[in-house]
Amino acid sequence: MTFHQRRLFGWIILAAFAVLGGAWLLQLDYARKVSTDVLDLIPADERVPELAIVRQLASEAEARTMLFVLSAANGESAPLAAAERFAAELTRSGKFTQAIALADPAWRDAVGRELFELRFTLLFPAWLQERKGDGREVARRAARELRAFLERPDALAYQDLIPADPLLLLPDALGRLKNGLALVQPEGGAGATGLVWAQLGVSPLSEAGQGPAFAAIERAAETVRVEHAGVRVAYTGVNRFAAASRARIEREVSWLNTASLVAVLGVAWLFIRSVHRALHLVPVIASAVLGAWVVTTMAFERVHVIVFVLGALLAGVAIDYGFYLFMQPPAGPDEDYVHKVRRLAKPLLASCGTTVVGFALLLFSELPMIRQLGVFVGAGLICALFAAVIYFATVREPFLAARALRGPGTLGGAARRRLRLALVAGWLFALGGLVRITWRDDIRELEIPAADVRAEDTRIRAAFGQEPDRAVYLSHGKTVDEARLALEAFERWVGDRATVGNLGGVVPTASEREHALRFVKQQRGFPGELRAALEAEEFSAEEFAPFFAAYDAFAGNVDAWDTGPAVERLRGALRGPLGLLLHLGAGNAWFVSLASGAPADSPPPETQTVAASQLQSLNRLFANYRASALKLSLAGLALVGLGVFLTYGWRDGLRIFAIPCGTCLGIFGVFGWLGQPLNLFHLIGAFLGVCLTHNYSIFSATSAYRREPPPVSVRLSALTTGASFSVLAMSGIPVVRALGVTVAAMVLAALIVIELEQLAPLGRKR
Amino acid sequence: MRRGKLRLLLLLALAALRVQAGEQVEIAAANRIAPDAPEWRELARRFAQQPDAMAKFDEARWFPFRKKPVTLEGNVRVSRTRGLSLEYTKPDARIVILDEAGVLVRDATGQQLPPDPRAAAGNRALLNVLRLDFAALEKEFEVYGRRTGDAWSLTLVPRTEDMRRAIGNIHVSGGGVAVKTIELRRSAKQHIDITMAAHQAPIAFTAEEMKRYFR
Repeated sequence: MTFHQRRLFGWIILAAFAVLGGAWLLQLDYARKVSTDVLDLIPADERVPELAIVRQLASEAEARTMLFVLSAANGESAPLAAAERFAAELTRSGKFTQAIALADPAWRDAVGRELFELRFTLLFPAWLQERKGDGREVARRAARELRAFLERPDALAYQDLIPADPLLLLPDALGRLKNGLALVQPEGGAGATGLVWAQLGVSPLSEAGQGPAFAAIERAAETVRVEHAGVRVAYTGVNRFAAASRARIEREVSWLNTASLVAVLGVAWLFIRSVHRALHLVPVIASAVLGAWVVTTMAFERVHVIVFVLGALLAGVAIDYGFYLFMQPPAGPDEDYVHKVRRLAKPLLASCGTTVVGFALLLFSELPMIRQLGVFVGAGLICALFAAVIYFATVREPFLAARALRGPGTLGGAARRRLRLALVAGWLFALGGLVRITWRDDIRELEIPAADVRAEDTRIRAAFGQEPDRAVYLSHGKTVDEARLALEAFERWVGDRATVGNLGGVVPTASEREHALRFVKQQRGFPGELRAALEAEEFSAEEFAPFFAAYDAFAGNVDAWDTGPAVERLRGALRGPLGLLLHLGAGNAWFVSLASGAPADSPPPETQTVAASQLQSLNRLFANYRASALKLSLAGLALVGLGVFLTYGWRDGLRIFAIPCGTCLGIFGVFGWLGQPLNLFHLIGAFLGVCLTHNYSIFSATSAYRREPPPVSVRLSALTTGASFSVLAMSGIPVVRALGVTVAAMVLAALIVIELEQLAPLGRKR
Repeated sequence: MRRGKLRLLLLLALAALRVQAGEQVEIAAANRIAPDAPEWRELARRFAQQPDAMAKFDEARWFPFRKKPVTLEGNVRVSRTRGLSLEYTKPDARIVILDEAGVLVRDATGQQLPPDPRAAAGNRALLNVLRLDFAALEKEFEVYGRRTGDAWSLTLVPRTEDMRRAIGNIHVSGGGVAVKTIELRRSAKQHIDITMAAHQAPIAFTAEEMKRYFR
């Protein structure tokens, strides 16, 4: 095949690949395909049920909550009328499913009305449970309690209900709910009139949950200001954090890319004579990235954006093959391209194959993001290798000459030996740091800290009575009865160690319901006994006709007693923050308990209750996945090592493999000495670092066999990679910083080892 | 003629006695008073100058479903700066505090109980009555009144249907700068009668009392 034929054939293949790949990417719906939701980092079928529940809670309800504080021009709380108008405007905007002024009693009254309607089904069992005895005893006690109740100052609020509720089922239930109400609603008064609670109609992490929602809030504020001049609106919600984070990430990506490009070009200018010829590497990297995008978006229904951010590291690995192939001088003046490729095939295939196998192992991870990253990098590397081989076949002179620079190779043998000894001593010292390694998994490190938004959030939440020490617990089960049983166990566990509020007081347990059912069936004379008891306490029994009529209707239909529909009806009436306290789903249900002064220990497993601090749970989840990723990384490392041993034999393989492994252990040891806590992303960085340094090691070994110094392409590749990841190490996003520091440190450390000709003995023994 | 005069004097005397005994003011245009009427303005000014005070009170609650009233006793404290505090002592100890921030209820242990927002309107009215703050009362009630010498009576008719349903009309009687009776009347069978002790002593609350009885 002539060069012209080869070039034409190569261009056709590359063009076809670019057209087909581009066409695939163009038709994608990116809003649906690419997720920015941090919860998408967690598997939808999370194996720990409690964490799945937390995930659901976070995505379904809690995260969509927004809190507003309206202030008048004089700085005091805005009047209730302004808050009500604002809430109405938010609801009218269609961006919010509900919005309520907390000081408006209507939302609580609605729940009270529903509870009153359902008082026999939902409230009677718990009331009866606390009043043992036969019908007569219960009736006498009820009449005495009614008399005592009327002597309380707050009884007046119920005076109109009492003819229909002499058992005081509703006041009794509301009394049991009082802690819950106090915890979900701030103390009443002038300070609370300007508080508005709202729930977004869409995810706060989506575009629709941010820009359009903020615009709706601004419009509502403008409308309120027409009637209440000078009203200011402060608000908080997950979408504010997400929007701030997104804006900062966009700025970060912009300057990081620019700085990275400048760093790479600077390094290239130092080492390459004709910098413009380095543009031949662009098609290789572009093909790698294109292939990675196409395969990943084909393989996964939804891909998290962080995969593409972390996937940028692909360029650092993919460029290795281009550099190596392009910067290797021909073996002789007559060596053609095909022969050169054959000569370099072993190190190229060994390097690419083992790295791809390593990343392919990530497919076994439980974390979707890790699986997606494995596919992204693996596919990208295969595309990079093939693109490099095909593209340079189309270049007339596929050789990029390097500048002649003084390197460590010019040092004398004694100096190199001393440096190597110092390096080994330093490495041994660094290993001691491994025992000092600590792990800290914090999901907040996925975001850029936004101190101003955080401070505003704390201030607004304090106005809503949400103190930092407030704990949230979820008692769950497959059915409402199971969840209610879990709640009972949880309350027993808490005892009087904390003030706890939940809806347990208005949903009976199965045993309470059974007891009430037996009572109603067996104590048929109860209405008459209650009439007599009321008369004995100087009440006019005939005034309670509404109660007796309702009781007769209930007792007459008691065989069909099912609390399920009543609980669902109650759930439908729960508005505002109360709506977060009960969840009824297909196959799962949970009660949320809010606790002030909660115990430090976690509820035992038998309570079927999880401390549902979203942050803690997600952090725990990340810790679990970090452990899982560590196992996979070690398995991947073993596979990579096996590939090296099979290709180069045990003795040489050990020397080659010692560079990536030793570098990794040494850098982690340094982190240990520095007291730098590690996380999942240090681990991913280390895995990538191992793959990169493994490439350098193999390419250098190939040169060593020929008794040549390490190829300049390795130096160039390591320095460009080191430069670009050093830029990442300056990122404001903690996890990106972790990744950048780890990879840059590993690559540069490995380069020093290679430059000191650690692999030179490979050539001497042949 | 003499018999006519005698009859007139007798009627006047009876009327005076009825006012002193807390007779209710008829809801009629003739009795409607303007907040800035000189005789009432002068009385309001004297109220405003009153120092903090404390008095015992009895409360009788009449319900349609009970044959006898429910009776409560306690102490009322009025602070010019901190509002009104109702300390119920019988049958159960409980403190209801009404101030600019709203209503606060404490039980015997001092623990705060969630207030009922529907009671806020009535309690706010009580606070304004005990301060004789006509401007504030006029916002929520039509105010009817009558004065005879030192004795006076007021009837407050809620302006909104919600408040009318919640607390009904309020009848107040007093003598000088002392409030004697307050009746919250929803119907003939459903009303609350509060009788204040004659002796309403000026008092300087200690810091401890301020903390205990006010917000």
